[in-house]
Amino acid sequence: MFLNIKTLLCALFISTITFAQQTETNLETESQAQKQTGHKIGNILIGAYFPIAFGNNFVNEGMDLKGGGKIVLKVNTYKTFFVGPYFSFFNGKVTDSDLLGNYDNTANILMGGVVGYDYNIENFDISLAAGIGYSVYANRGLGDSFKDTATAVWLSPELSYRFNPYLGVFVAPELRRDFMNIDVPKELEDSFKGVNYFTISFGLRINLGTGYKNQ
Amino acid sequence: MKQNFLKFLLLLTVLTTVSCLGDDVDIENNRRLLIKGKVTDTQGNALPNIPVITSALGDALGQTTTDANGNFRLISLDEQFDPLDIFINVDNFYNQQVNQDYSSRAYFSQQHVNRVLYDMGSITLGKMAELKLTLNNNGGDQNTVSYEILYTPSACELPLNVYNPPSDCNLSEMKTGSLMPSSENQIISIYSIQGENVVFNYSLNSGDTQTIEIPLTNASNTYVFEY
Repeated sequence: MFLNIKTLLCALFISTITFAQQTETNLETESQAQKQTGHKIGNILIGAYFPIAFGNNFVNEGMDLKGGGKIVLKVNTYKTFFVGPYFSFFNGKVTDSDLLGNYDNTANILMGGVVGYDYNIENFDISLAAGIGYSVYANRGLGDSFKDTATAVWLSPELSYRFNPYLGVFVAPELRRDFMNIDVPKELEDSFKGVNYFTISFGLRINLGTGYKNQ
Repeated sequence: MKQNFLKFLLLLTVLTTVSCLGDDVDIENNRRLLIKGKVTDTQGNALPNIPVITSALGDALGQTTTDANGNFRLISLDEQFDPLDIFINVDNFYNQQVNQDYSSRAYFSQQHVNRVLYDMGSITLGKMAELKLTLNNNGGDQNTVSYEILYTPSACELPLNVYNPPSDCNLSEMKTGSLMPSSENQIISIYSIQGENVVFNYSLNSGDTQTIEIPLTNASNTYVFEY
């Protein structure tokens, strides 16, 4: 499963670069009309990331989650359909070691890719993205560190507002599920085989390209 | 310059040695264990607030206490290489009983196994009992005595992850000795469980073995054997 995710991430990365390069080439050969309206290459999101776990799972029942951050690069491929790499992280403190095992804290890192569609209305951008990635819980306790890993999938609508053609702010709720790889007895599977998150992220959106200028 | 380098080298050597001396726990990635069971006294009554600990190399990988019904359900980490031990009513260093009124149970593994479920069933902890057995030498007789004392230890140790393990420690502990005509009086302290018997087998002057069963009816018991 992990290998599949790695392959997928590699493919996503290569396709992102390819599309980005193709976009540059296309820019040079665009018609005059296109030149007048400019081209929307994509955008970068950098912001804070606040997860809230819900449902019957070990994170919701035995951890106090702290905030983190996220960074996403969205490269437009066809019109404003985008694809790109995604990175987020957050921290958590173990509050009930009876339910989790005897360790102190965790740092979650999610690396993956997103696909989606961006819709522009005047100074507002609305988008819907779906993602898949590799999620690592780097745990610390007893003077040692160990990992829990998962495959994460998520769906995230996003609303952003542009101050000027290149800079704006965004807010993006996200529904995320981590399919955990933890080996547990059958009666713990409900709690340890998956974690659900509702997350809120907000921050800066940097628009790439000149396409936002004339809106 | 050379002196500084030598100092640095010495410091590096010391730090490396110190770090190698520590036998740290290596927690297994992506694994949780479930240990469950029930703790009762010898009358079958539930024992609440009894600590249950999983341990490896003296580190508590998981810990909980029994609930009001004596049940426990402990989710534990696992060690990568070292065997897992399970302690009931004893601290993770296996030093002392936590609830001093009751006996303790410790399950020791000989090697690491990839097992994720430990259903311990019903575990009986008896009330603690101490026997002070006095062996008095009545001067004048030239008797020799060889003896063995069989008893159920208050700190019961059982194997874990073996085929068909014993379920209790009944009369599993033994003390032996011999007494000469010149021996001083002795007091032997035995820590066992109320309601159990201590079996004292002795042979006088290499004769037939005689048996005395000493019932442990109280928390503190005494018995005097004279020869």
